This record gives sequence, structure tokens and C-alpha cells, in this order.
Amino acid sequence: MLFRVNPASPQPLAEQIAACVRRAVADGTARPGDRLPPARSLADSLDVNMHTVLRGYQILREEGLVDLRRGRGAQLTDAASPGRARLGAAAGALVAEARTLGLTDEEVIDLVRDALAPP
Amino acid sequence: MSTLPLPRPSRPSRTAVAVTVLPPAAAAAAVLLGYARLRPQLPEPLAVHFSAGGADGTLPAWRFLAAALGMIALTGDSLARLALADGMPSRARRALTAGDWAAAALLGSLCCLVPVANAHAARAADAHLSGLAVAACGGGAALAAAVGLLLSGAVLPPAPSGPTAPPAPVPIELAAGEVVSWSRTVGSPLLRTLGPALLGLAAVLLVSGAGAGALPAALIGAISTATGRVRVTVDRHGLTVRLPLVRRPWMRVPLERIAAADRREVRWTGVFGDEGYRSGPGRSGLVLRPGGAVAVLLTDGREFLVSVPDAATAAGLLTALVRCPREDRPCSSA
Repeated sequence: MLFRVNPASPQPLAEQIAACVRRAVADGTARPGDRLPPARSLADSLDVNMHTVLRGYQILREEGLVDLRRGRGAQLTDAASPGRARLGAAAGALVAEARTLGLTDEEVIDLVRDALAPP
Repeated sequence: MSTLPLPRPSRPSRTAVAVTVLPPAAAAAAVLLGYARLRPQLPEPLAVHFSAGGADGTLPAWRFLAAALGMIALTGDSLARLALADGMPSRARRALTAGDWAAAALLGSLCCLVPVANAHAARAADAHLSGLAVAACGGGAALAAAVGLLLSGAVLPPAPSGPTAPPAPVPIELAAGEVVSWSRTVGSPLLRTLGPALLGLAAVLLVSGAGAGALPAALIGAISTATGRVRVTVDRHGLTVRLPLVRRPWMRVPLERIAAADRREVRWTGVFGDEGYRSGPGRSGLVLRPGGAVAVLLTDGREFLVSVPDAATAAGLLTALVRCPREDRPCSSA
């Protein structure tokens, strides 16, 4: 699994780490059951704080892509399908675009709710 | 830039699983049924070891049964796992399938013979086992090995549809200020089978009263289990191999010592002897499974190689890191 982060990017480092995992799942280089690198060694590898890596893994857990268990590390769940990863990336892009346009959280949720409503 | 999708590990067919699992399952069932049928006629304890002079070793009946079933299950499970392991050479698969059948027949028939030898004996010392019966068990095992060999075609995975060239290193572009890390785990089918099997054997030896043999089996089993899987990382530090749960790297080749990197194809010619840490004149490497490997040419002319999935991306990234120091970016490994 390839991780690429750029400290100069406006995107938070934790989100960049989560995006790398989503991309790996989406392009088939990571599969359900694969273990992610231990947070400590990935932090050392990327020259970032360990809590930044853990925050990235936490984002993925909230999306259902990663299972975090004490003593077992981070492992991709059965739900970590390429489609699910692409959907997570699209949601991230939607939020980023909404932030650029100055929309509030409620306005973004209303947008999604409108899109979900039957025609 | 995207990395190469990994080939999916080929899953064994139901027929392949049946061919390797049925013999030990049938042997265990035969031992259990034979023991249950003769139970009322057996002495306590049972004679389990025989020499020319007659019975010279005994075990409580439940210990004999637990040890017999444990040995059949452990041997069968280990040989079946190895025969079905992803990346195992065809010749080794055939040999392991034949071995699976032979071991099931030999252990099953010998463990069936023990209650027969004890039946109707008032005490264990009166039990008698004929040498001819033991020889017949050996003959049966040889016959079973031949049958296993004949059926081993079912265990072979389908041949690839056409010639496939190993992928070249993936060209990777590094942006200014970008920090990259590539990481994969790689496991040895042999060590990951052998480790738990030896730990199980230690338990069987403890149950059967042979405690002296249990300690070395448990020790080797624990070491095999611990070293059966490693994590390979390529990053600003170079190429690193780590054992799980151990913070210090097991092996590290610093970036400054790497002159070039490439992807190689590692083939096994047999089951035992090809895997593990290997060292020779001018080259060394850690080969845990056949397939792709990342090979680095060191500045002193030596070569170091690690077998790992997605080795093309690892080799591409190492090339980029060697060619493009952080201050000279953006640049490309292509």
C-alpha cells in the first residue's frame, strides 16, 4: 500500500493518509482483511505524528473501511470494496467543494438529503 | 499515478479441498469408530508401544485416543494447507498430496491396530501386535501414496491462459516536499503451517506423556510462528523488514547504500530448502514465498532481495527515492 503525503497541501495530513488507503482499496492494491501498517511505524516512515496517523485510521473506521482493535492494529473490513472506497472519496470531495463555496454543515446535509429524496 | 492491481490469490477448488481433507478425516473417523466398537473389551491402561518381547509402553485410553486423533488432524491439516498454498510449485503440490494420503493411511491404520492388539487382553502386558500387521500398514500407506499421486492433478491450479511477462517497476513521480511510504506484509506458507503444527504437536506430546519432546517442539513452533510473517517497508529510510510486534527493524538497507532497484521473479524448485534467509557470494535475500521480489543493488556491488507482493511498486518507489532526493524534486523514476 502506497502512502503519499504533502505537508504543504491544504488538505489535513490525516485526511491525506485516509485518502491513500481509499485509493489503494479502489484500485485493488489493498483488499478486505489486509492489515494497515502499525501507526507508530507509518508515522516514522512519513515523518508525521503518530496521532495524525491514528486520526487518519479513525476517519476510515467511521466510514466502515477499517476495523481498529487494541493489540491487533488496523485491518480492512469486509466492507472495504473498491466501490465503497470510491464513494468515500466522492463524499470527501463533496465536503471539500462545499467548504470552498462556504456552505455550512447543515446546508451540505440538506443537499445530500434532497439528492436522496425520491423524485 | 496508480499502482498495479495485485493478482488475486487463486482459491483452491472444492475438489482440491476434498482430495486433501478427506483422507485424514476418514482416518480419524476410522480410529474413533474402531475404538468405540472395541471399548468394552479393552484393558485400562492400553498397551501403545510394542517390541519383539511384547507390549512395553502403556497410556490411559483417553490419552491414547486424544494423541491419535491429534496427530492425524495435525499432520493432515499441515500437509493439506501446504498442498493448497498459493504459489506452491506443481511438483511440490503432487508430492504433498501423496504425502497427505500416505500419512493418513499409516497413522490411521496404526492407531486402529492398537485397540485391536489390546482387545480381549486382561491387562496391557498381555496385548500382542504382529509384525506382519505393522508391515501391512506400511504397504497400505505406500498404496495410499500412489492413489494420492494419481488424484493430485485435482490440486493443481489452472494454468495461466497465456504467457505473462513479470511487471516492470512502476514509474513513480515525486512532487516537491512530498513524503512517501510503501508497505506490505508477506508470509511464508511453510512457516505459517509449520509453526502452529509444532505448537499442536507439543500439546499432543504433553497429553501422550512425552513431555521431553514437547519443549523443543513448542520452542521451534513459537519461533516459526513469530517469523512466518514480516512487513516490508520502502520509505525515506530505505528498505526495511520488520517482524510483527517488534519495534526494532529486523533488516534495513539505508537509502544511501542503494545504487539501483528492480523487480525480480523468484521461483521455488522444491518445498523445503528454498525459503528463508539466504546468503551467497555477492548476494543475500529473504525469500518467504515464490513470485515477485524487490531486488536492490548496493553501492558495494552486492545484491539484496526480498520476496513481497506488489514488488513492482516497491522497486519503482526505491528507484524514485534514490534518483530524487527531497531537495531536487519534482522528478520521476521513469
